[in-house]
Amino acid sequence: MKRFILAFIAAYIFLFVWGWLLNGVLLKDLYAETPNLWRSQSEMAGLFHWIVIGQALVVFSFVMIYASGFAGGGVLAGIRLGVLLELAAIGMRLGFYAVQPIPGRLILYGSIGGLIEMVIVGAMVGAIYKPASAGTS
Amino acid sequence: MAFFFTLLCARYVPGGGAGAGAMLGFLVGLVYAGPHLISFAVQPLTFKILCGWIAGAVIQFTIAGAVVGAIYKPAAGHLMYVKERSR
Repeated sequence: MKRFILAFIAAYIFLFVWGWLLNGVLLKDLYAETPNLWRSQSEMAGLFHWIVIGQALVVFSFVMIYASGFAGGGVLAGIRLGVLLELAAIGMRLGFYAVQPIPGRLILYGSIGGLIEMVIVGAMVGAIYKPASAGTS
Repeated sequence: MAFFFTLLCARYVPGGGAGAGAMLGFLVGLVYAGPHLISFAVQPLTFKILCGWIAGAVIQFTIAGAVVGAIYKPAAGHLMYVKERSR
């Protein structure tokens, strides 16, 4: 349980910082090109807790999947899980691209950023989380 | 999406059946519910749409996981490898 919580906290901190770096800094100008698609800064600030909860849900579910089906595989198993989840997510993102007027470049850069994010999250969770039997033997 | 989800199920529940597949699908649905919450915070969506997206993702992946778990049967060699590795 301690390892589970440690993996969750480490991955969450990374996800939070990476989310800010990718969306708040690197892709900032791209978002600015389509202001009508996004809420105003003041509205976003008022709904910031949804971002915190959303990121926590992603990390919690990720660690749960790893712990229940991939634990013991180490860093490589974590990376594999992250890559598979993100590749499936790219499929979902393409579906949104078909129905929302989001620029293609945003989908592309978001997918690349998402892949990097999930590889690192997977590696972190794989390195930190150890199943109970492995810890005692 | 379906292809990589099936790959994930094959690696997660070798011979696990519909129940284990549904459990994985439920968790995957929660993974994708997170970005929906974030979209709600940054895009002008209504709360009803958010609820619909989340419920849709969870139901969709739970059923898909159950279907894959019920249909997919790994080769005997793969099962042995998994059992050996988990010892």
